[in-house]
Amino acid sequence: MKIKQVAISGFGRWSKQTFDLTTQMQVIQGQNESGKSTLRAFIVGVLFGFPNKKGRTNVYDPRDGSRYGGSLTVVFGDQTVKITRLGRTQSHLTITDLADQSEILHPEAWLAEQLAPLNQDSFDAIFNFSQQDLAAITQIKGADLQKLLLNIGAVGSAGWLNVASGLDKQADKQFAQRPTGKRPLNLATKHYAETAALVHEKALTLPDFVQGEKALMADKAEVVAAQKTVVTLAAQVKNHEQLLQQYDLYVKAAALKAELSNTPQSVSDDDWLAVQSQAATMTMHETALQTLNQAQTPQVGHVSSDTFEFETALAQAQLEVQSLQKQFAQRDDWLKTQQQLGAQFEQGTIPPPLSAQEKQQLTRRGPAMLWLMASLVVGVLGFLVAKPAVLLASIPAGIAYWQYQQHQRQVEQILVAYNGLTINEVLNLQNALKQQPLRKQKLAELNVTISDQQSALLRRLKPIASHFDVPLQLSDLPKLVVELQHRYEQQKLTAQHDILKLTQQQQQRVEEIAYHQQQLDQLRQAQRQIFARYQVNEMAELTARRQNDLTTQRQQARYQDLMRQLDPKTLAQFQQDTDRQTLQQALAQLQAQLSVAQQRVFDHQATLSNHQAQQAQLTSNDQFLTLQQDMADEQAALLDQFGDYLADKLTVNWINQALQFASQNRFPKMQQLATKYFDHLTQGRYQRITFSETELLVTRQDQQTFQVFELSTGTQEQLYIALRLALSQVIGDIVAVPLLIDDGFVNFDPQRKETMVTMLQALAHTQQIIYFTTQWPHATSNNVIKL
Amino acid sequence: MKFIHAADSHLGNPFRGLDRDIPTSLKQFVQTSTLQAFEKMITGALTAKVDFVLIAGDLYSATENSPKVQVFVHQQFERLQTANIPVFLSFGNHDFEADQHAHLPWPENVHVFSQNVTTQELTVPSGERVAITGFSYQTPRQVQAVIADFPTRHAGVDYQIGLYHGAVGKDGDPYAPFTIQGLLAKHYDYWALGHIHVRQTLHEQPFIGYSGNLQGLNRKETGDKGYYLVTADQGRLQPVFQSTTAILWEEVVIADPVTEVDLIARLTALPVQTPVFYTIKLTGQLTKEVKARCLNGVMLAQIRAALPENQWVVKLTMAPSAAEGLPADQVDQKFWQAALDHVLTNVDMTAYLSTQVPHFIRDYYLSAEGKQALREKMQQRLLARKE
Repeated sequence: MKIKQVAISGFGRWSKQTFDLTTQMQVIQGQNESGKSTLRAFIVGVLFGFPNKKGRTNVYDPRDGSRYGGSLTVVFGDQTVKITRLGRTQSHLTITDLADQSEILHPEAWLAEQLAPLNQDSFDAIFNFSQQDLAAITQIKGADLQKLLLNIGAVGSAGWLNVASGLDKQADKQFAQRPTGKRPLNLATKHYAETAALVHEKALTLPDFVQGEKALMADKAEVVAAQKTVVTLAAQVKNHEQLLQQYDLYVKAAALKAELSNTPQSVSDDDWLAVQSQAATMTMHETALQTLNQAQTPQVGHVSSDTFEFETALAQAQLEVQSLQKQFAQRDDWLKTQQQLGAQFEQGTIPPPLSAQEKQQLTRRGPAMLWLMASLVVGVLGFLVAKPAVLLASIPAGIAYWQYQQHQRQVEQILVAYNGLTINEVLNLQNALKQQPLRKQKLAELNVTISDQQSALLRRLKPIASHFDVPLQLSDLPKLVVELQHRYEQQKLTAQHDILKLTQQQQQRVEEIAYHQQQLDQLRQAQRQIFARYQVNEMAELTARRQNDLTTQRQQARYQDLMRQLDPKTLAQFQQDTDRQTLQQALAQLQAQLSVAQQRVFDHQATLSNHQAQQAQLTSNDQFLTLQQDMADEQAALLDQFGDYLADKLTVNWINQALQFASQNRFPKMQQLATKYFDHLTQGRYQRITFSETELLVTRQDQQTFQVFELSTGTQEQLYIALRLALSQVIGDIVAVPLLIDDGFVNFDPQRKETMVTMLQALAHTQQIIYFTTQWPHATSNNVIKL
Repeated sequence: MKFIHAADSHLGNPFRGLDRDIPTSLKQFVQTSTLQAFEKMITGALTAKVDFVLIAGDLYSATENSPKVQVFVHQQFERLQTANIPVFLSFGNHDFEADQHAHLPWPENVHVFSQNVTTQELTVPSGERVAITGFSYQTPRQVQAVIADFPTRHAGVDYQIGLYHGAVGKDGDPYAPFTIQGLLAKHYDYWALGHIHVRQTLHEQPFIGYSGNLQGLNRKETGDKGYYLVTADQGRLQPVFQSTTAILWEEVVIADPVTEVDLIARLTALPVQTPVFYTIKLTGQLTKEVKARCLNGVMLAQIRAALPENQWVVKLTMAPSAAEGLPADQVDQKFWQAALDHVLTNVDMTAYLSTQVPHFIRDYYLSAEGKQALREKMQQRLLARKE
């Protein structure tokens, strides 16, 4: 592409101005402020679009109000077009093909295609530069240049460059290189650093823990030591308590010993047993004696007296029985008479004899006389028989009187009583009748006598009968007496036999008594000997002594027991100069020490458990494993995320590199060319340009290598221009646009400037160069526009 | 005689490569998994009534640890002390000089090897005399040829055992380099090695080998982990593996999954004893949808939700298949391939990772593994853009 004409409608200081340009090297000369830069900006603006109003960028509004914009007449190969761009904010582009004045459709696209692969950036980077840009030489990097070349050089690289640019943006969103970045990876990195710091910080607590553990061991040792002291002291206290107890025992033992020394001789077991045995034997003998003595006399005495009594009584009884038998005969006689009398009367009733009166009455003779005589008879009889019966005589006398009084009246009555007997018979009977009462009385008296005698006899026989166990029978007293006598005789015989036997027994007993007595005496003698031995008089005393002996023995045993409880050493100690108070004081002292030691144990234990709790806290709060895993997880996450980031970034590199390779290594070619130009510009002073990763190096002819900033300003500018020219040349096969150089060689020395100009002029044969400058001292004139 | 050869318990070591979606219960299990494995080993020692326990370095995962971990170790060693089982312990590159830092006093039954190679002798209850020779790291690296300091077999003992934390290598390598010939030259009866986490035998008789670690720590440490129970058999020391795995790491390759349901069905069909952490690699023909769901994480979330609590999928990846290659358009494939290699070879991490970025990230992505991961990610990006 070559620019043939520049026609400005309005742009900055320029309005309605047209410049015709040569298609080789066009020099535009003007002083400062003459509009050189404005012109350059206009050319770029028409080709790539006018600058938008942003910040302080100069937008070149026309000073005089002319219409903004203008046109360029440009040759693209064999086609000449007029590119007109008017209006700044809403600029309007028209491109007219000057061959037929036809307007090209889609002018922006058409123009971009013509300029492709250049855009304004790459155009500026390669073809358009000024004095200010030269200063940027120190910043320039091989990679930037490479990229620049790729943009232009690799066919179809635009798509991939877009991909690369997208990835680059994506990566940049993740991570910013500056330390203050707030992007996700920056934050994650920061967080990781915090976690790592935390882990490290936690690890720093370990020495505290270990120290604590050591302190704990020391605590434990102290507790153990203190406990040991307590144990020792407790043992001592116990010992002392025992000592004290032993002392008490010792005191008791001593007292016992003193007491024991005062006790009399003890009763020996042999003696005691002997005495016991003696006493028992003596008791036996005494009992025997007593029994023998008690069992003496009575039977013999009793039998003989009884026998005598019975013998006399029985003899008398026999007499009395004979007497009684006579009386019985009398009575029978009398009773027979009476019965004969009674048989004359009816029913046997014997009427009383007639009284005198009655007799008188009957005989007419004074019966009273009769009764009187009767009374005399009675009296006599009474007197004979029994004196008291004399009194009876008065009764008939009385009756005689009374009979007389009654005689008359009574004669009949009397006869009635005689059951019809005649008076003679009655009177004849009167004798018998008169004897009747007497007989009757005698009989009665006899009965009484018999009865009395029988009673008396019975009374006397009763004990005998009872003795012989014979029933008392009145009916046959004689027989009884005989029986009793018989019994008596028998008993008497028995008794005599018994007496004989008893006598013999008595004899034997006497002998026994003598024997026992003798034994007793011997025993008493022996007992007395033993008693004498112990100065006692009787058994009770000895028993008491014996009792005492037991007590003494118990005391002795107790003493032995006490002594056994005392070990010899302690005993020896006690026997010297110990007293209870000293011992107690020592004990109290030990107890006090023990209590202090115990307190120390408690204190140490408290400290220990405190430390243990602290250590346990440290262990239970130990987040080390968790933090380590957290850190590892964060590392994994960071690795992954940074992997993505790096992959993005490196993929960008990869794309660029691939395009580089695909762009047929324009870069090395450019490098070569730049070296040639630089060598030329410096008159062979610098022979090589090399690109490292980060910087540009130049090698002088003496093989010394310099970094860009080490070069002089002029040389730096020459290097820059060499690179620019090389770039534009190396892509010349793809795109050729004019080079716009604004005051590029200010710091060049005349010689180098001359070389430069020569070089540019040579280049301008193939590439249009528009060179803006303040001075142009060179001879050429046809290609200089003076502003 | 009977003893345990264990190493690399890495107590307190977190699991690497988990994300924050892991359920809390499982996370707590994860945190204590190294401790659980260690406790199993101690219990094994008590059950088997061993004569002593050898720990060939990296007891702790770092010189920094915590009260809980130390109290735990103390308690476990005290369990052995109660049973009169001595422990012979050396430090490795992870826990170098661990006892020089804040550390609880060791129980009396624990014998720690010092920096210098020393030999400890003991007579086991059966009457056999055993010499154990070892050393501890004092720095994370042990470049000197420590093996030279190991004495040759002592004639007066029945067995001599080397306790050695290191790797086969040449002088100057960082982890106490040794050669198998070098070890054999000492005429020991057993070399209890530590450092390499994969259980392996370097020499059969006398045995030279690694018991491996007690618990896998990341998705690369797959399979059953544990210690060796070593028994003397006619003068030879024969190791038998004993498992202590608390959480099993497994890599599962699943070919041609059609849907997530299909994938879940295949995973649930796998036999599971202990909790398992899977790394799943999808291979073969993958539909566009499967790929998309794999890439955007939906598939992983679905599988995690569907599996029982003791099965956890740590990572779900697709094996890059050769057929998929690189974009083919105006830019020739050879340029893409060359450019990728070029970019990954000449990457300047400092340009992207400023100083505030933790070192481990830079280190990782400069490692071959990290670069491979980057390569895969980059390919996925380019493919995604292409489509």
